[in-house]
Amino acid sequence: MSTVLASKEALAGKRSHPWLVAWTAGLVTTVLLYAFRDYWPWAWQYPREWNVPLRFWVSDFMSWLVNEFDLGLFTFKELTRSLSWLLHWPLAAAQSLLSAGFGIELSEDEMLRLPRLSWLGIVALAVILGHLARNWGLAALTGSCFLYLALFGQWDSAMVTLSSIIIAVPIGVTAGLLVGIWGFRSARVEAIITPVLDLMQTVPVFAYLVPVLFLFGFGPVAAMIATIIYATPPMVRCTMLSLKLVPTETVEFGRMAGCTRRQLLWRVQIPSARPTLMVGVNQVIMLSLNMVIIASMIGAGGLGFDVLSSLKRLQFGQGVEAGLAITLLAIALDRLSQAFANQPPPEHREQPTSWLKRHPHLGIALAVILVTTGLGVFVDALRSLPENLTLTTGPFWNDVVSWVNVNFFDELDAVKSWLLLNFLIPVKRFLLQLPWVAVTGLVALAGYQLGGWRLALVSASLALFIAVTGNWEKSMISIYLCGISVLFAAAIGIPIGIWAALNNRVHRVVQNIIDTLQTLPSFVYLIPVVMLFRVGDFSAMIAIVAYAVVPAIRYTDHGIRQVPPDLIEASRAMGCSRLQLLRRVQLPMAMPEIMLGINQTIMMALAMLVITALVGTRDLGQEVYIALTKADTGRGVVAGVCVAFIAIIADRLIGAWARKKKRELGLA
Amino acid sequence: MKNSKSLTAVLALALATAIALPARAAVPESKDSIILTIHDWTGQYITTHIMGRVLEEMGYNVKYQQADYIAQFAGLESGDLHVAMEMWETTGKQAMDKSLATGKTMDLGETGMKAIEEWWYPYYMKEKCPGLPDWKALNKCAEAFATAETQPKGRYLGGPVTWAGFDDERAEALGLDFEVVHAGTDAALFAEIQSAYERKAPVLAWVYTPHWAPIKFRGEWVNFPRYTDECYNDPKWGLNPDMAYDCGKPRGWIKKVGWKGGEKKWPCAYQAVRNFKVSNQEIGEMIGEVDLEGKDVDQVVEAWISKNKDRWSKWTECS
Amino acid sequence: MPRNHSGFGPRSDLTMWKKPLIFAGAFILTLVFGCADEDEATAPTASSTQQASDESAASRSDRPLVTVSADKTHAVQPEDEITLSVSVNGFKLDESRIGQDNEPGVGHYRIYLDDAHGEDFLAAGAAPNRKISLPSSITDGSHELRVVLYNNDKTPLSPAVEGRVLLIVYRL
Repeated sequence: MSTVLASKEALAGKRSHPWLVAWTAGLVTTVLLYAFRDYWPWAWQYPREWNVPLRFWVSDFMSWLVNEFDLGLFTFKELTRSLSWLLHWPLAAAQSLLSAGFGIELSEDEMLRLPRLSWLGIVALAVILGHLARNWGLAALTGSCFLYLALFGQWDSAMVTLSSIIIAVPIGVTAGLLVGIWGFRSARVEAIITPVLDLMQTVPVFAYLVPVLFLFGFGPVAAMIATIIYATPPMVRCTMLSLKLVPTETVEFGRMAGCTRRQLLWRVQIPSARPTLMVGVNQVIMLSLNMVIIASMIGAGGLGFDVLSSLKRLQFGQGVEAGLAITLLAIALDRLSQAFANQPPPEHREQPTSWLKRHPHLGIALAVILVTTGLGVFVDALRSLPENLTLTTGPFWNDVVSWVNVNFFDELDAVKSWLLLNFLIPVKRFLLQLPWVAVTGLVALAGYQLGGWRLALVSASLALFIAVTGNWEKSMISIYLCGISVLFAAAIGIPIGIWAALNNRVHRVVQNIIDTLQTLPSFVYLIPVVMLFRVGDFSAMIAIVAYAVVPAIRYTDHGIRQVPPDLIEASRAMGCSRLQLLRRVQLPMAMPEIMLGINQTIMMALAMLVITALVGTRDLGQEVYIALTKADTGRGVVAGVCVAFIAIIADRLIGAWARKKKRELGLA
Repeated sequence: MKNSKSLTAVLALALATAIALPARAAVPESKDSIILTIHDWTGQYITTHIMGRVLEEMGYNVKYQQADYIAQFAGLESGDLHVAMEMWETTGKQAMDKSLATGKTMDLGETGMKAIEEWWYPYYMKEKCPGLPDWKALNKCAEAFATAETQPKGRYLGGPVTWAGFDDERAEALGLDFEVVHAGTDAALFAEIQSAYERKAPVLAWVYTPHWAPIKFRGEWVNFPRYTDECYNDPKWGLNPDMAYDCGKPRGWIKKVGWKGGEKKWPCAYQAVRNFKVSNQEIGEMIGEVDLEGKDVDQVVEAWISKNKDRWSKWTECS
Repeated sequence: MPRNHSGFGPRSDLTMWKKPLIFAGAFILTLVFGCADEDEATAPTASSTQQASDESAASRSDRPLVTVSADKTHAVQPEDEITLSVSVNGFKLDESRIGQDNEPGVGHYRIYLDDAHGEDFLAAGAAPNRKISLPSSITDGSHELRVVLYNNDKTPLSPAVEGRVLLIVYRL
C-alpha cells in the first residue's frame, strides 16, 4: 500500500519534472546566448546579410501582375478594372439616391436634376424600420441617431458613407455566404479557407490597401472593395459554423421529405441557421463601419474624411462630432440588424389581401419618402437642412481639451514619465536584447508543451519568418507595445468584468460604454491624447488599452456568468462566502473563457498597431503605414504578414492552453 | 449613276470642309473627366479647386479624387489620376524625380508659391535661449528643450518619416545634442505644438508654410546653413567634412505634376494648368480664412474665382 | 477583428426606453454647452483676440479703434517694402501737431516690430498709407507690426490703443 502510494507520489513528482527541466534549460540557453553574444553575434541579432528580400519580390510580383500579366483575352489589370467598373454602378446609384441626386442629360446643355431622398424621409424611414423590427423604443433610438446626423451638420458626409455601406454589406454577406457554403460542403476547401481567413483577419488592413489601389484604381470603389475584403471573413466563419450546428434531425426530415440537395440547403439548412447567420451579417456591418476612417484614407470621402481633416486642423470638436456620427450610425444599424435577427416567428393569422394592409410599415415608409422627396423639389429645406438650423458643440470640446491641457499637463506628465522610465523603457530594452534564436526556441518549446510537435513546428516557423524577413527588431517593439497594453488592459478589464458579472446594473452601463468604445474611431481621441502625453509609445499605449480593454471585460463578464448554476448552488450549500465563491469557484471555472478574452485582447491590440503608427511609433505598424504612403506593396504586405504571424502564434498558444485547462476542469 | 455621282460630290465636299477646318479640336477635346488629386491640407484643397473651377469654366468635366501625397504617383503614372497641383520641393523632390524618370508623368511648372519647412520654436523660447535663431545656439539650450525621456539631449519633433527631410542625418552631421522624434501624422505634430504653445512650454518642431500654423502660433525658424544641392550629395561640402546633410532644408518651389497621356487628351487644359500662377499672399490669406476663421472653403474658392476673372481668363487662352 | 457578442437578444421594453432617454439627455446637455459657445468659432490667437477685444472695447466706450492691413503678409522678404494701410475711428491723425501739447482725440501713430516699445520704432507719422522697411536682421518666422496711437506730446494713449498685422517672413 505504502509503496503504491509512494510510487504514485514519485510519478506525480516526475510528471512535472521534464517540463521544468526543459524550461530551465531554455532560459539558461537564453542567458548564455546573450552573455556570449560577441562570439555568436548571428544568434543574438539576426544578421542583415541573411535577410531574404521578400518585400522586393512581392513588389516585383505586384508590378508584374498589374502591368504585364496577360490572361490571353485580356490583361489581369483589365480584369480587375472591369470589376471595379461593374461595382461603380451600384455605388454611383446609391450615392445619387442618398447624397448627390440624379443628373440625367437631356441634351448638350440641359440636364434634368432629380433631388436625392429627403433627409426627413430617411429619418422617418429609420423610425418605421425600428418599429417594424421590434417596438417604439428601437424606433426612437434609430430615429434619434439619424436625427443627430441631420441636426449636427453631418448629413451629407453620412449619406456618402451610408451609400458605401449599403452596397458593401450585401456584397460582403452574399460573398461570405457563398464561400461559407462551399467550405461547409467540402472539407478540403474548409481546410484551405480557414488559414486564409485567419490571415485576412489578422493582417492589418493598411497592408493590403496598396495592392487594392493598384488593382482597382484610386477612388471610392477601391475603398469599398477594401471594406468588403475586411468585413467578409466573419460571415464566412459564421456560415460554416451555423450550417454545422443545424440539428441533424432537421436535415434528416428534409431528406425524408424528398428535398434535392439545393432545396435542402436553401429551404431547410439556411433558414434553420438564420439566427447565427444574422450574427455574421451584424459583424459585417460593424466591421464595415470600423473601416470608414481607413477607407477615407484611400478616397472614400464621407464621415471618415471629415474626422481626419478636422483633426488635422486640430478642430477637435468637429472631429468628435463626425466620429460620433459614425458611432451612432453603427449603433443604429447594429440594433436594427439584431432586432431583425431575433424577431419572433411570424404569427399565423388570416392575412388581408391588399399588399398595403399586409405590409403596413413598408407602405407608410414608401409614402413618406415619396412625399418628402417630391416636396423636396420645391422646398429646399427638405433636401438638406438649412445651415442656420444645424447645431455644433465643436468649440466646447476644443475648450475642454485646452482646459485639461493647461491645468493638468504637468501632473499627467509626471505620471507618464515615471511609468516610462521605470517600467516601459526597461521592458522595451529587455525585449530588444533577447537573442532571436532563444526566443524562437522558447516559442517552439511552449508550442510543444501545449499542443504537441505540430503546434511547435507552426510557432517556430512563423517566428523564423519574422526573423528571416528582417523585421525582428520592429516585431519586438510591437510585442513590447502590445504586451504592456494587454497587461494594463487585463489589469483594468478583468476587475471591471468581474464587477459587471456580479451586478446587473453595472453590467448594462458597462455594455453601453464598451459598445461606444469599440465603434468610436480611435483616431478621434488619439489627438487629444497626443496633446496631453506627446508623441510616443505612451500615447500609443493608451489608445491600444482603450480599444483592447473591451474583450477583457466582455469575456470575463460572460465567463463568470456561464459558470453552471448548480456548481454555485453546491458551493453556497457548502458554506462559501461571496469572496470564497468568487476566488475558489467562479474565477477558476471562468478561467478558460477569461483566457480567450485575453486572446481576443491580444488580437485587438495587434489590430490597433497600425492606428497607433499615426501617432508615431517605430514598429511594424509604422512599417505598414509607411508602405501605404509610399505605395510600396512588398514592404506593407511583408510587415502586415509579420503582424498576422505574431497574432496567430499568440492565438494558437493561448487557444491550446485554454483547451487544455477546459479539459482539466471537465468543461469541454 | 447620277445619285452615286452626287453622293460622291457631297462626300468630297464634306471631306474638303473637314480638312479645311483647323486641325485642332475644339475645347473640350474629350468629355472624360480630368481627375485632380486632393490631399488633406487646406492650401492644396484651395489651389486644386481653383484650378478645377477654371477648367470647368473652360468647359471640361472635372473630378476630384482624394489620394495620398506620395502614393498618388502610382496613380499618376498609370493614368488613374491626372493632375496633382502641389508637389513641394522641400519634401516631394525625390519622389517626383523618380516618377518623372519613368516617363509616364510630366512636370507642369511651378505654382508660383514658395515653401519653407524647417525646425521651428515659439517666440517665448527666445528668452530661455538667447542665441536663437542661430542653429549654434541649439546645443547650448539642449537642456531647455529636453524632456524626461530624452534627457540630457533636447527633443525635436519632426514630421512623419515619409516626409523625409533628413532630420536624423542633419542632427548627426551638425553635432546637435538633440533626439529626433517623428510624429506619425501632421495631426499629431500640430497637436503637440498646440499643447505646448498653450502652456508656454518648450517645443522644437517641424513647421511649414503655406499653412495655418505660422499664422496661429507665433514663432521663428532656426537658421541653419543655407541649402545647396552639394550639401545633400557631397559629404565634403559644408561644416562637417565627413557627412552630408550639414545644412537646412531646401526652400523652394511648389510644382504641378501630371499624367503624360493627358497632354494628348486635353492639350488646352494642360496648357491652362501650366499657366496657373498664384502667390503665397493670396493662398496664405485664404488658408487663414478657412482654417482659422472657419469660413467654408468652397465659398472662399468661389470668391476668388469671381474676383480674379481677368487673371484666370488669360490662363485659358490656348495657342 | 470580430467582435464577440456575449449577451445580445431581445431586451425588455423598459431598457429600450432608457437608451433614447439617455441620448436625449446627452443631446440636451451638449446643446446647452454648445449654444453657449456658438459664436466663439476660432481658437484664440494673439492678434485676433487683440483685435476682437479692441473692437469690443471701442464699442463699449468711446475709445478709438485702429484697423491695420498690409499689402504683403506672406512669404515676406526682409528687403521687401510693405505698405501699411491704417484707418482710425474716434481719433484724428495729424502730422503737423507732433511735438505739440497734448490734445484729446488728436495724435499720430508709431509703428513697432513685435515687442519693441518706447523709442525703438520703425516709423512714426499720420498718413493713412505708410511704406515700411523691415530691419535686415529680422528673423525668419511670424512677426507682428503694431501700429500704436500716440498723443501729440509723444506719449502713448492710456490705456494703449493699437492695431496689429501679422507677417510671415522667410528668406528664399
